[in-house]
Amino acid sequence: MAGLQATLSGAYSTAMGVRAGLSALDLQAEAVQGALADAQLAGATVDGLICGYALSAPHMLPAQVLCEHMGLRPGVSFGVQAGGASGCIMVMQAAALVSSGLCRHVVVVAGDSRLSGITRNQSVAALAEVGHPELERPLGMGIPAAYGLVAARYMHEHGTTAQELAAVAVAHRHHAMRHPGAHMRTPLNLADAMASRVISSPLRLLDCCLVSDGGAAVVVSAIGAAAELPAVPVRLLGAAQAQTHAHLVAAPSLTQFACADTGRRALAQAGLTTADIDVAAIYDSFTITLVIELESMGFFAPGQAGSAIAAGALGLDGTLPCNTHGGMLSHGGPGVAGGLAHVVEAVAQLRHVAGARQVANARTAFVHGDGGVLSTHCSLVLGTG
Amino acid sequence: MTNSAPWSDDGLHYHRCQACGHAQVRSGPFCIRCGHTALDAGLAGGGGTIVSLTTVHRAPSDVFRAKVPYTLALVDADEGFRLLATVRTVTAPPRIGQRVRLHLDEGGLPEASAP
Repeated sequence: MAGLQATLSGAYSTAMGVRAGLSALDLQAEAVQGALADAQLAGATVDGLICGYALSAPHMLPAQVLCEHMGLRPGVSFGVQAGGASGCIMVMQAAALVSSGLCRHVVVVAGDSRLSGITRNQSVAALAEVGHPELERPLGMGIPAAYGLVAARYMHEHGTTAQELAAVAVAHRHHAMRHPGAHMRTPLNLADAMASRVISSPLRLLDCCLVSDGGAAVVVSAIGAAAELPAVPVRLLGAAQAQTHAHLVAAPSLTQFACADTGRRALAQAGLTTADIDVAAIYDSFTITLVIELESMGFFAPGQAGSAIAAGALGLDGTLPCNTHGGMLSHGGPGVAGGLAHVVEAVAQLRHVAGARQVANARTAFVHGDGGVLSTHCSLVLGTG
Repeated sequence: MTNSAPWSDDGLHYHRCQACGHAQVRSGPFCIRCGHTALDAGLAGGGGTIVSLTTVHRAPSDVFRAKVPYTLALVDADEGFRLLATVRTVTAPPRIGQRVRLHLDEGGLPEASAP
């Protein structure tokens, strides 16, 4: 199988948080403008656009609506719905488009007014979709309860503690405090994290990702097309997707998920191991999500991520700087754009433009997204030089 | 498939795949593990073991607000299928690994009680 031949030639995330008065469309357009400016690419040269769904603006033609709004006319344009994995999946599919020659420059974008622009009924209806209509929803299982069930079993089997989960939240806040666009930048200590109110045991409020307004976009370009652009080329070295289920009740396991498979395959394509990764950006819908994925993909031994994180492993000078923008736990939880912002941060790190957040000599990055209840996973390996 | 409801008045219905043996609650014409469409029907005896549980403190919608806090459990029935059940309030808090008796509550939804 020939590898994907693609470059991330532009990346941008909007300020996250309260962006009152801006629609999902406004936030998507802001992100696209930012990414095109970053790539120094004119809209007229974009021949592909992939747009993630927005809860605040559900639409049958989200990509076409955005293109119309911005005066873009790419030949390839479509929307994607795969939960939180959408960001990484869209980048992987954009890479396939440029690898095949169908496109030269594909914009991947997501944006949502999930905090300011969504009514309570819309929010309720949308979030309830994660539960099975007959087997889960009627019993009152929402997203936090689903992850609470996963967390309880994982902690039972691997010994991860509530304090270790709180340390994940604290580490993300430290990172977000260095990012000017982050939603939450006030200091957070372990005691406060552990004292936040229980949402669905064992998960507390600060174990859960934020709900934010925001957008993000990246430009994925063919190798030859990117060579004409000034920015440092960030190559996609590996990409893989897999799923095991949609609903929690159908998950083959509460402790092993498809990330083990996608992480292994993406790294193998890149010819790298976990030890070769300089910086990571891994999905953090909940603190437990990150712990499970780090252990599943081999960045830490089973049961060891929590204590390592509490000892500073995810910090800028730790063994695996991770979610250096603060992740969805502190930088922003605007839906699909949250996972895409992980890609944006990885690109910034590899280009060495992350400022106060910069990981020294970063040359390889691992990005991961998951959707549903750890249902579908997509791993990306990026590199320079 | 005329009736795919997982449960009815006479109890917890489940399916076992003739090809791979996977047991699942009655939820459609396909085996969700291998895709086979020849499934044997059965009625569960009610015995099960708690795989995980969570106590919900923030209701997912207005409908459940009055019920908070309530406890949900993922239970592996003895027949091999997994389902979500409400845990009937007991004097001792339920734990992972505990044996339960599965039945339908007044609303026709699965509930797990002490055996």
